[in-house]
Amino acid sequence: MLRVLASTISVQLQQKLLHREFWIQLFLDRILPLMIPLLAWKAIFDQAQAESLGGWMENEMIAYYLLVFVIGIFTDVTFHYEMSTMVQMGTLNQWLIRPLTFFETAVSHMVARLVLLLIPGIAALLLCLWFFPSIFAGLTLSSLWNAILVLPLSLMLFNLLAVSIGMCAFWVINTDSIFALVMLILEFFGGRLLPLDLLPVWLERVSRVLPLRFGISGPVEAILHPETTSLVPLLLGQSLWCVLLFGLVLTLWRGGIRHYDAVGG
Amino acid sequence: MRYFLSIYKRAAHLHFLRWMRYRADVLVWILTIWCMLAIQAVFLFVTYSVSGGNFFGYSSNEIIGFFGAALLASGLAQSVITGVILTLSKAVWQGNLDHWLLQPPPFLFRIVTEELGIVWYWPHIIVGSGIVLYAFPASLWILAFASAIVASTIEMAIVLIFCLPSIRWGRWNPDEGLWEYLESARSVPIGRTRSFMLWLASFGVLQYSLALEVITGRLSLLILVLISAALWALALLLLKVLVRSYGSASS
Repeated sequence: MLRVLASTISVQLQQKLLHREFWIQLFLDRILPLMIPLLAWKAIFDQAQAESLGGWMENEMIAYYLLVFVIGIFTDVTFHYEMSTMVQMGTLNQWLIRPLTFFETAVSHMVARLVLLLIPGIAALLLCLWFFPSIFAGLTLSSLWNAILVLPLSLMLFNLLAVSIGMCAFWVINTDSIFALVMLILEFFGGRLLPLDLLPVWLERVSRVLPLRFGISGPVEAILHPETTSLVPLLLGQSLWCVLLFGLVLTLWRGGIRHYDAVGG
Repeated sequence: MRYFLSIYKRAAHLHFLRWMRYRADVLVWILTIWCMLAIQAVFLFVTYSVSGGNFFGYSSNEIIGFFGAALLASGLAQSVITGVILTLSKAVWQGNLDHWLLQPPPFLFRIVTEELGIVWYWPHIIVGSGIVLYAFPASLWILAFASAIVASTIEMAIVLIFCLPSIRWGRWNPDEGLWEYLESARSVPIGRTRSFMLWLASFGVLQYSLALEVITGRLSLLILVLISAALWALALLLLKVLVRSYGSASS
Protein backbone atom coordinates (compact mmCIF):
# COMPACT_ATOMS: atom_id res chain seq x y z
CA MET A 1 0.00 0.00 0.00
CA LEU A 2 2.74 2.43 1.02
CA ARG A 3 4.84 1.49 -2.00
CA VAL A 4 1.91 2.13 -4.33
CA LEU A 5 1.26 5.46 -2.65
CA ALA A 6 4.94 6.43 -2.93
CA SER A 7 4.96 5.59 -6.66
CA THR A 8 1.80 7.59 -7.37
CA ILE A 9 3.13 10.54 -5.39
CA SER A 10 6.34 10.36 -7.41
CA VAL A 11 4.38 10.36 -10.71
CA GLN A 12 2.21 13.28 -9.57
CA LEU A 13 5.30 15.20 -8.50
CA GLN A 14 6.98 14.66 -11.86
CA GLN A 15 3.82 15.88 -13.60
CA LYS A 16 3.64 19.02 -11.46
CA LEU A 17 7.33 19.80 -11.90
CA LEU A 18 6.84 19.80 -15.67
CA HIS A 19 4.86 23.03 -15.30
CA ARG A 20 7.54 25.55 -14.45
CA GLU A 21 5.04 28.42 -14.40
CA PHE A 22 3.85 26.92 -11.10
CA TRP A 23 6.53 28.94 -9.33
CA ILE A 24 5.49 32.27 -10.87
CA GLN A 25 1.84 31.52 -10.16
CA LEU A 26 2.67 30.63 -6.53
CA PHE A 27 4.69 33.83 -6.18
CA LEU A 28 1.99 36.04 -7.71
CA ASP A 29 -1.17 34.73 -6.17
CA ARG A 30 0.05 33.38 -2.85
CA ILE A 31 3.42 34.68 -1.67
CA LEU A 32 3.04 38.36 -2.61
CA PRO A 33 -0.50 38.78 -1.19
CA LEU A 34 0.66 37.12 2.03
CA MET A 35 3.71 39.40 2.27
CA ILE A 36 1.88 42.71 1.82
CA PRO A 37 -0.05 42.81 5.15
CA LEU A 38 3.18 41.88 6.97
CA LEU A 39 5.16 44.67 5.27
CA ALA A 40 2.28 47.13 5.72
CA TRP A 41 2.14 46.47 9.47
CA LYS A 42 5.90 46.82 9.75
CA ALA A 43 5.68 50.18 7.96
CA ILE A 44 2.79 51.27 10.22
CA PHE A 45 4.83 50.40 13.34
CA ASP A 46 7.87 52.25 11.97
CA GLN A 47 5.74 55.28 11.17
CA ALA A 48 3.92 55.31 14.51
CA GLN A 49 7.14 54.76 16.51
CA ALA A 50 4.93 52.96 19.02
CA GLU A 51 5.85 49.91 21.09
CA SER A 52 2.43 48.37 20.69
CA LEU A 53 -0.64 48.94 18.53
CA GLY A 54 -4.01 47.43 19.35
CA GLY A 55 -2.39 45.43 22.16
CA TRP A 56 0.20 43.89 19.81
CA MET A 57 3.94 44.48 20.18
CA GLU A 58 5.78 44.95 16.88
CA ASN A 59 7.69 41.68 17.28
CA GLU A 60 4.51 39.78 18.12
CA MET A 61 2.72 41.20 15.10
CA ILE A 62 5.58 40.35 12.74
CA ALA A 63 5.87 36.84 14.21
CA TYR A 64 2.10 36.39 13.76
CA TYR A 65 2.24 37.37 10.09
CA LEU A 66 5.38 35.32 9.44
CA LEU A 67 3.71 32.20 10.78
CA VAL A 68 0.53 32.97 8.81
CA PHE A 69 2.78 33.44 5.78
CA VAL A 70 4.42 30.03 6.20
CA ILE A 71 1.09 28.28 6.91
CA GLY A 72 -0.36 30.10 3.89
CA ILE A 73 2.32 28.69 1.61
CA PHE A 74 1.98 25.12 2.86
CA THR A 75 -1.79 25.18 2.59
CA ASP A 76 -1.97 26.33 -1.01
CA VAL A 77 -3.97 23.25 -1.93
CA THR A 78 -5.68 23.39 -5.29
CA PHE A 79 -7.26 19.96 -5.42
CA HIS A 80 -10.57 21.49 -6.54
CA TYR A 81 -8.90 22.25 -9.87
CA GLU A 82 -7.68 18.67 -10.37
CA MET A 83 -11.11 17.36 -9.42
CA SER A 84 -12.92 19.73 -11.82
CA THR A 85 -10.62 18.68 -14.64
CA MET A 86 -11.16 14.99 -13.92
CA VAL A 87 -14.96 15.37 -13.91
CA GLN A 88 -15.15 17.68 -16.93
CA MET A 89 -12.69 15.76 -19.10
CA GLY A 90 -14.16 12.43 -18.01
CA THR A 91 -10.74 11.18 -16.82
CA LEU A 92 -12.34 10.36 -13.49
CA ASN A 93 -13.49 7.14 -15.21
CA GLN A 94 -10.02 5.67 -15.12
CA TRP A 95 -9.82 6.01 -11.34
CA LEU A 96 -13.17 4.29 -10.90
CA ILE A 97 -12.29 1.11 -12.77
CA ARG A 98 -8.63 0.62 -11.81
CA PRO A 99 -7.23 -1.20 -8.78
CA LEU A 100 -5.89 2.12 -7.47
CA THR A 101 -8.82 3.78 -5.72
CA PHE A 102 -9.83 7.37 -6.20
CA PHE A 103 -9.06 7.96 -2.52
CA GLU A 104 -5.44 6.91 -3.09
CA THR A 105 -5.22 9.09 -6.17
CA ALA A 106 -6.56 12.10 -4.28
CA VAL A 107 -4.14 11.54 -1.40
CA SER A 108 -1.22 11.21 -3.83
CA HIS A 109 -2.24 14.49 -5.53
CA MET A 110 -2.30 16.32 -2.24
CA VAL A 111 0.88 14.82 -0.82
CA ALA A 112 2.73 15.58 -4.07
CA ARG A 113 1.54 19.18 -3.86
CA LEU A 114 2.68 19.33 -0.23
CA VAL A 115 6.12 17.95 -1.13
CA LEU A 116 6.37 20.58 -3.87
CA LEU A 117 5.36 23.32 -1.44
CA LEU A 118 8.12 22.21 0.93
CA ILE A 119 10.60 24.00 -1.33
CA PRO A 120 9.07 27.53 -1.13
CA GLY A 121 7.80 26.85 2.40
CA ILE A 122 11.20 25.96 3.84
CA ALA A 123 12.87 28.72 1.81
CA ALA A 124 10.35 31.24 3.23
CA LEU A 125 10.92 29.96 6.76
CA LEU A 126 14.70 30.25 6.42
CA LEU A 127 14.39 33.74 4.91
CA CYS A 128 12.14 34.80 7.78
CA LEU A 129 14.68 33.48 10.30
CA TRP A 130 17.44 35.32 8.45
CA PHE A 131 15.62 38.66 8.14
CA PHE A 132 13.97 38.61 11.57
CA PRO A 133 16.25 36.53 13.84
CA SER A 134 15.04 38.24 17.02
CA ILE A 135 11.37 37.54 16.30
CA PHE A 136 11.65 33.82 16.87
CA ALA A 137 14.24 34.05 19.65
CA GLY A 138 11.48 33.77 22.27
CA LEU A 139 10.12 30.52 20.88
CA THR A 140 10.61 27.56 23.19
CA LEU A 141 10.56 23.80 22.88
CA SER A 142 6.87 23.82 23.76
CA SER A 143 6.25 26.07 20.72
CA LEU A 144 7.87 23.42 18.55
CA TRP A 145 5.88 20.68 20.28
CA ASN A 146 2.64 22.62 19.73
CA ALA A 147 3.56 23.19 16.07
CA ILE A 148 4.08 19.44 15.58
CA LEU A 149 0.70 18.75 17.15
CA VAL A 150 -1.49 21.39 15.50
CA LEU A 151 -0.03 21.96 12.03
CA PRO A 152 -0.82 18.51 10.55
CA LEU A 153 -4.49 18.91 11.51
CA SER A 154 -4.44 22.41 10.10
CA LEU A 155 -3.12 21.05 6.81
CA MET A 156 -5.76 18.35 6.83
CA LEU A 157 -8.45 20.99 7.36
CA PHE A 158 -7.32 22.94 4.29
CA ASN A 159 -7.07 19.76 2.21
CA LEU A 160 -10.55 18.60 3.18
CA LEU A 161 -11.95 22.03 2.34
CA ALA A 162 -10.32 21.93 -1.09
CA VAL A 163 -11.61 18.40 -1.71
CA SER A 164 -15.16 19.26 -0.64
CA ILE A 165 -15.20 22.26 -2.99
CA GLY A 166 -13.70 20.05 -5.71
CA MET A 167 -16.64 17.67 -5.30
CA CYS A 168 -18.96 20.47 -6.46
CA ALA A 169 -17.52 19.78 -9.94
CA PHE A 170 -20.16 17.07 -10.27
CA TRP A 171 -22.85 19.77 -10.35
CA VAL A 172 -21.23 22.98 -11.64
CA ILE A 173 -19.04 23.79 -14.65
CA ASN A 174 -16.37 25.76 -12.84
CA THR A 175 -15.27 25.35 -9.22
CA ASP A 176 -12.61 28.09 -9.39
CA SER A 177 -15.10 30.81 -8.55
CA ILE A 178 -16.59 28.83 -5.66
CA PHE A 179 -13.12 28.03 -4.32
CA ALA A 180 -12.07 31.69 -4.54
CA LEU A 181 -15.21 32.87 -2.73
CA VAL A 182 -15.17 30.24 0.02
CA MET A 183 -11.44 30.51 0.72
CA LEU A 184 -11.54 34.32 0.64
CA ILE A 185 -14.21 34.39 3.34
CA LEU A 186 -12.88 31.51 5.43
CA GLU A 187 -9.25 32.67 5.34
CA PHE A 188 -10.28 36.19 6.34
CA PHE A 189 -12.26 34.83 9.28
CA GLY A 190 -9.37 32.46 10.00
CA GLY A 191 -7.05 35.40 10.67
CA ARG A 192 -5.01 35.49 7.47
CA LEU A 193 -5.32 39.21 6.88
CA LEU A 194 -5.75 40.44 10.46
CA PRO A 195 -5.31 38.89 13.91
CA LEU A 196 -8.84 38.00 14.99
CA ASP A 197 -8.80 40.10 18.18
CA LEU A 198 -8.30 43.23 16.07
CA LEU A 199 -11.56 42.64 14.18
CA PRO A 200 -14.72 44.46 15.27
CA VAL A 201 -16.48 42.31 17.91
CA TRP A 202 -19.38 41.21 15.68
CA LEU A 203 -16.97 40.02 12.98
CA GLU A 204 -14.82 38.21 15.53
CA ARG A 205 -17.95 36.37 16.73
CA VAL A 206 -18.63 35.14 13.18
CA SER A 207 -15.14 33.65 13.04
CA ARG A 208 -15.91 31.40 16.02
CA VAL A 209 -18.32 29.28 14.02
CA LEU A 210 -16.07 28.92 10.96
CA PRO A 211 -13.37 26.28 10.44
CA LEU A 212 -10.25 28.22 9.52
CA ARG A 213 -9.98 29.85 12.92
CA PHE A 214 -8.64 26.38 13.81
CA GLY A 215 -6.51 26.31 10.68
CA ILE A 216 -4.70 29.66 10.85
CA SER A 217 -5.18 31.84 13.91
CA GLY A 218 -5.46 29.01 16.48
CA PRO A 219 -2.25 27.21 15.43
CA VAL A 220 -0.33 30.52 15.23
CA GLU A 221 -1.46 31.47 18.75
CA ALA A 222 -0.51 28.00 20.02
CA ILE A 223 2.99 28.35 18.56
CA LEU A 224 3.54 31.95 19.64
CA HIS A 225 2.09 31.67 23.15
CA PRO A 226 2.38 28.03 24.26
CA GLU A 227 2.09 28.97 27.92
CA THR A 228 -1.23 30.80 27.66
CA THR A 229 -2.91 28.82 24.87
CA SER A 230 -4.84 25.72 25.82
CA LEU A 231 -4.27 23.00 23.25
CA VAL A 232 -7.29 20.86 24.09
CA PRO A 233 -10.03 23.15 22.67
CA LEU A 234 -7.90 23.85 19.61
CA LEU A 235 -7.24 20.17 18.88
CA LEU A 236 -10.88 19.35 19.56
CA GLY A 237 -12.03 22.11 17.20
CA GLN A 238 -9.62 20.96 14.50
CA SER A 239 -10.67 17.31 14.86
CA LEU A 240 -14.37 18.17 14.89
CA TRP A 241 -14.10 20.26 11.72
CA CYS A 242 -12.01 17.54 10.04
CA VAL A 243 -14.67 14.93 10.85
CA LEU A 244 -17.46 17.23 9.65
CA LEU A 245 -15.66 18.04 6.41
CA PHE A 246 -14.78 14.40 5.82
CA GLY A 247 -18.47 13.54 6.25
CA LEU A 248 -19.34 16.29 3.76
CA VAL A 249 -16.75 15.00 1.28
CA LEU A 250 -18.14 11.45 1.52
CA THR A 251 -21.73 12.65 1.07
CA LEU A 252 -20.83 14.81 -1.92
CA TRP A 253 -18.75 11.99 -3.43
CA ARG A 254 -21.58 9.46 -3.15
CA GLY A 255 -24.14 11.88 -4.56
CA GLY A 256 -21.72 13.06 -7.22
CA ILE A 257 -20.81 9.59 -8.43
CA ARG A 258 -24.51 8.78 -8.89
CA HIS A 259 -24.88 12.01 -10.86
CA TYR A 260 -21.69 11.32 -12.83
CA ASP A 261 -22.87 7.82 -13.81
CA ALA A 262 -25.96 9.35 -15.36
CA VAL A 263 -24.41 12.21 -17.33
CA GLY A 264 -20.62 11.99 -17.23
CA GLY A 265 -17.98 10.06 -19.14
CA MET B 1 -18.74 53.55 -40.16
CA ARG B 2 -22.28 52.17 -40.02
CA TYR B 3 -20.88 48.79 -41.05
CA PHE B 4 -18.35 48.84 -38.21
CA LEU B 5 -20.98 49.94 -35.72
CA SER B 6 -23.30 47.10 -36.75
CA ILE B 7 -20.45 44.64 -36.19
CA TYR B 8 -19.70 46.11 -32.77
CA LYS B 9 -23.39 46.01 -31.84
CA ARG B 10 -23.71 42.36 -32.80
CA ALA B 11 -20.50 41.50 -30.97
CA ALA B 12 -21.66 43.22 -27.79
CA HIS B 13 -25.01 41.41 -28.00
CA LEU B 14 -23.28 38.03 -28.38
CA HIS B 15 -21.03 38.88 -25.48
CA PHE B 16 -23.97 39.44 -23.12
CA LEU B 17 -25.70 36.31 -24.38
CA ARG B 18 -22.58 34.32 -23.51
CA TRP B 19 -22.44 35.69 -19.99
CA MET B 20 -26.13 34.86 -19.53
CA ARG B 21 -25.26 31.27 -20.30
CA TYR B 22 -22.69 31.18 -17.49
CA ARG B 23 -24.74 33.33 -15.13
CA ALA B 24 -24.22 31.12 -12.05
CA ASP B 25 -20.44 31.39 -12.40
CA VAL B 26 -20.69 35.13 -13.10
CA LEU B 27 -22.82 35.64 -9.98
CA VAL B 28 -20.33 33.76 -7.78
CA TRP B 29 -17.45 35.86 -9.17
CA ILE B 30 -19.38 39.09 -8.60
CA LEU B 31 -20.06 37.95 -5.03
CA THR B 32 -16.34 37.16 -4.63
CA ILE B 33 -15.39 40.62 -5.87
CA TRP B 34 -17.84 42.26 -3.43
CA CYS B 35 -16.54 40.18 -0.53
CA MET B 36 -12.99 41.15 -1.41
CA LEU B 37 -14.00 44.81 -1.38
CA ALA B 38 -15.64 44.41 2.03
CA ILE B 39 -12.54 42.66 3.39
CA GLN B 40 -10.28 45.43 2.07
CA ALA B 41 -12.52 48.03 3.68
CA VAL B 42 -12.31 46.16 7.02
CA PHE B 43 -8.51 45.90 6.70
CA LEU B 44 -8.21 49.64 6.02
CA PHE B 45 -10.62 50.48 8.84
CA VAL B 46 -8.78 48.28 11.37
CA THR B 47 -5.27 49.43 10.43
CA TYR B 48 -6.39 53.07 10.50
CA SER B 49 -8.11 52.69 13.88
CA VAL B 50 -5.28 50.68 15.43
CA SER B 51 -2.68 53.22 14.30
CA GLY B 52 -4.72 55.90 16.07
CA GLY B 53 -5.14 57.93 12.89
CA ASN B 54 -1.37 58.19 12.41
CA PHE B 55 -1.55 56.40 9.09
CA PHE B 56 1.42 57.59 7.01
CA GLY B 57 0.08 61.13 7.33
CA TYR B 58 -3.15 60.48 5.42
CA SER B 59 -6.43 61.86 6.70
CA SER B 60 -9.40 59.51 6.99
CA ASN B 61 -11.10 61.14 3.97
CA GLU B 62 -7.97 60.68 1.87
CA ILE B 63 -7.89 56.98 2.75
CA ILE B 64 -11.56 56.55 1.91
CA GLY B 65 -10.94 58.47 -1.32
CA PHE B 66 -7.97 56.22 -2.11
CA PHE B 67 -10.21 53.19 -1.70
CA GLY B 68 -12.76 54.71 -4.09
CA ALA B 69 -10.22 55.82 -6.69
CA ALA B 70 -8.51 52.40 -6.61
CA LEU B 71 -11.89 50.69 -7.05
CA LEU B 72 -12.85 52.90 -9.97
CA ALA B 73 -9.47 52.54 -11.66
CA SER B 74 -9.32 48.79 -11.14
CA GLY B 75 -12.90 48.37 -12.39
CA LEU B 76 -12.15 50.30 -15.58
CA ALA B 77 -8.87 48.48 -16.17
CA GLN B 78 -10.17 44.98 -15.53
CA SER B 79 -13.33 45.59 -17.61
CA VAL B 80 -11.15 46.27 -20.61
CA ILE B 81 -8.11 44.09 -20.16
CA THR B 82 -9.34 40.76 -18.77
CA GLY B 83 -11.28 39.89 -21.92
CA VAL B 84 -8.41 41.01 -24.16
CA ILE B 85 -5.98 38.70 -22.37
CA LEU B 86 -8.34 35.72 -22.31
CA THR B 87 -9.23 36.13 -25.99
CA LEU B 88 -5.65 36.68 -27.10
CA SER B 89 -4.40 33.63 -25.20
CA LYS B 90 -7.13 31.42 -26.65
CA ALA B 91 -6.67 32.81 -30.16
CA VAL B 92 -2.89 32.39 -30.14
CA TRP B 93 -2.85 28.92 -28.62
CA GLN B 94 -5.62 27.62 -30.89
CA GLY B 95 -4.08 29.24 -33.94
CA ASN B 96 -7.10 31.50 -34.49
CA LEU B 97 -5.45 34.90 -34.22
CA ASP B 98 -5.35 35.17 -38.02
CA HIS B 99 -9.19 35.12 -38.01
CA TRP B 100 -9.14 38.18 -35.78
CA LEU B 101 -6.47 39.89 -37.85
CA LEU B 102 -8.35 39.34 -41.11
CA GLN B 103 -11.60 40.99 -39.95
CA PRO B 104 -12.20 44.57 -41.19
CA PRO B 105 -12.25 46.51 -37.86
CA PRO B 106 -8.95 46.91 -35.99
CA PHE B 107 -8.55 43.67 -34.03
CA LEU B 108 -7.68 45.22 -30.65
CA PHE B 109 -10.78 47.47 -30.66
CA ARG B 110 -12.91 44.54 -31.70
CA ILE B 111 -11.59 42.34 -28.90
CA VAL B 112 -12.16 45.15 -26.41
CA THR B 113 -15.75 45.60 -27.60
CA GLU B 114 -16.61 41.93 -27.69
CA GLU B 115 -14.98 41.05 -24.40
CA LEU B 116 -15.79 44.14 -22.36
CA GLY B 117 -16.18 42.88 -18.80
CA ILE B 118 -18.58 45.47 -17.40
CA VAL B 119 -20.82 42.57 -16.37
CA TRP B 120 -18.28 41.78 -13.69
CA TYR B 121 -16.89 45.14 -12.77
CA TRP B 122 -19.81 47.56 -12.73
CA PRO B 123 -19.81 47.46 -8.90
CA HIS B 124 -16.19 48.65 -8.86
CA ILE B 125 -16.97 51.50 -11.23
CA ILE B 126 -20.21 52.68 -9.60
CA VAL B 127 -19.19 52.24 -5.96
CA GLY B 128 -15.71 53.64 -6.66
CA SER B 129 -17.15 56.75 -8.34
CA GLY B 130 -19.60 57.23 -5.46
CA ILE B 131 -16.81 57.01 -2.88
CA VAL B 132 -14.63 59.47 -4.83
CA LEU B 133 -17.53 61.96 -4.95
CA TYR B 134 -18.14 61.49 -1.22
CA ALA B 135 -14.54 61.61 0.01
CA PHE B 136 -13.06 64.48 -1.99
CA PRO B 137 -14.33 68.08 -2.18
CA ALA B 138 -16.02 69.15 -5.41
CA SER B 139 -12.96 71.16 -6.43
CA LEU B 140 -10.94 67.90 -6.64
CA TRP B 141 -13.49 65.76 -8.48
CA ILE B 142 -12.13 66.32 -11.97
CA LEU B 143 -8.56 65.69 -10.83
CA ALA B 144 -9.64 62.59 -8.88
CA PHE B 145 -11.44 61.07 -11.87
CA ALA B 146 -8.60 61.99 -14.24
CA SER B 147 -6.05 60.37 -11.89
CA ALA B 148 -8.18 57.24 -11.53
CA ILE B 149 -8.53 56.94 -15.30
CA VAL B 150 -4.77 57.35 -15.85
CA ALA B 151 -4.10 54.82 -13.05
CA SER B 152 -6.46 52.40 -14.81
CA THR B 153 -4.48 52.73 -18.05
CA ILE B 154 -1.32 51.92 -16.07
CA GLU B 155 -2.96 48.79 -14.68
CA MET B 156 -4.01 47.71 -18.19
CA ALA B 157 -0.45 48.18 -19.46
CA ILE B 158 1.01 46.23 -16.51
CA VAL B 159 -1.33 43.30 -17.17
CA LEU B 160 -0.45 43.33 -20.87
CA ILE B 161 3.29 43.49 -20.14
CA PHE B 162 2.99 40.50 -17.82
CA CYS B 163 0.70 38.39 -19.95
CA LEU B 164 1.84 38.98 -23.55
CA PRO B 165 5.24 37.25 -23.22
CA SER B 166 3.58 34.26 -21.55
CA ILE B 167 0.96 34.07 -24.29
CA ARG B 168 3.55 34.34 -27.05
CA TRP B 169 6.40 32.25 -25.71
CA GLY B 170 4.72 29.95 -23.25
CA ARG B 171 1.43 28.16 -22.99
CA TRP B 172 0.30 29.76 -19.80
CA ASN B 173 -1.72 32.82 -18.96
CA PRO B 174 -0.77 34.49 -15.65
CA ASP B 175 -3.84 36.74 -15.74
CA GLU B 176 -5.67 34.92 -12.96
CA GLY B 177 -2.71 34.99 -10.56
CA LEU B 178 -2.09 38.61 -11.47
CA TRP B 179 -5.74 39.46 -10.81
CA GLU B 180 -5.57 37.88 -7.35
CA TYR B 181 -2.39 39.81 -6.64
CA LEU B 182 -3.79 43.14 -7.84
CA GLU B 183 -7.05 42.69 -5.95
CA SER B 184 -5.41 41.79 -2.64
CA ALA B 185 -2.37 44.07 -2.89
CA ARG B 186 -4.17 47.39 -3.21
CA SER B 187 -5.36 47.53 0.38
CA VAL B 188 -3.15 50.32 1.72
CA PRO B 189 -1.95 53.63 0.23
CA ILE B 190 1.83 53.45 0.39
CA GLY B 191 2.86 56.64 -1.43
CA ARG B 192 4.21 58.19 1.78
CA THR B 193 5.80 55.13 3.40
CA ARG B 194 9.54 54.73 3.39
CA SER B 195 9.44 50.94 3.25
CA PHE B 196 11.33 49.93 0.14
CA MET B 197 10.24 46.30 0.54
CA LEU B 198 6.58 47.35 0.65
CA TRP B 199 7.02 49.40 -2.53
CA LEU B 200 8.74 46.46 -4.18
CA ALA B 201 6.04 43.97 -3.16
CA SER B 202 3.33 46.41 -4.31
CA PHE B 203 4.87 47.04 -7.76
CA GLY B 204 1.59 46.27 -9.57
CA VAL B 205 -0.58 48.59 -7.50
CA LEU B 206 1.68 51.60 -7.00
CA GLN B 207 -0.39 53.56 -9.53
CA TYR B 208 -3.26 53.86 -7.02
CA SER B 209 -1.00 55.29 -4.34
CA LEU B 210 0.51 57.65 -6.92
CA ALA B 211 -3.00 58.70 -8.00
CA LEU B 212 -3.76 59.62 -4.40
CA GLU B 213 -0.58 61.71 -4.29
CA VAL B 214 -1.75 63.49 -7.47
CA ILE B 215 -5.18 64.17 -5.95
CA THR B 216 -3.64 65.52 -2.74
CA GLY B 217 -1.34 67.77 -4.74
CA ARG B 218 1.98 66.11 -3.95
CA LEU B 219 2.61 64.81 -7.44
CA SER B 220 1.91 66.15 -10.90
CA LEU B 221 -0.69 64.40 -13.04
CA LEU B 222 1.78 64.74 -15.90
CA ILE B 223 4.16 62.29 -14.20
CA LEU B 224 1.38 59.73 -13.89
CA VAL B 225 0.54 60.26 -17.59
CA LEU B 226 4.21 59.83 -18.53
CA ILE B 227 4.43 56.57 -16.55
CA SER B 228 1.33 55.36 -18.34
CA ALA B 229 2.70 56.37 -21.75
CA ALA B 230 6.01 54.58 -21.09
CA LEU B 231 4.28 51.38 -19.96
CA TRP B 232 1.87 51.47 -22.92
CA ALA B 233 4.78 51.93 -25.32
CA LEU B 234 6.31 48.74 -23.94
CA ALA B 235 2.97 46.89 -23.97
CA LEU B 236 2.23 47.87 -27.59
CA LEU B 237 5.75 46.86 -28.59
CA LEU B 238 5.17 43.42 -27.09
CA LEU B 239 1.79 43.22 -28.86
CA LYS B 240 3.45 44.14 -32.14
CA VAL B 241 6.07 41.43 -31.64
CA LEU B 242 3.29 38.94 -30.89
CA VAL B 243 1.32 39.82 -34.02
CA ARG B 244 4.41 39.96 -36.26
CA SER B 245 5.86 36.67 -35.08
CA TYR B 246 2.52 34.85 -34.89
CA GLY B 247 2.38 33.51 -38.43
CA SER B 248 5.65 31.65 -38.20
CA ALA B 249 4.93 30.07 -34.86
CA SER B 250 1.28 29.15 -34.76
CA SER B 251 0.80 26.65 -37.54
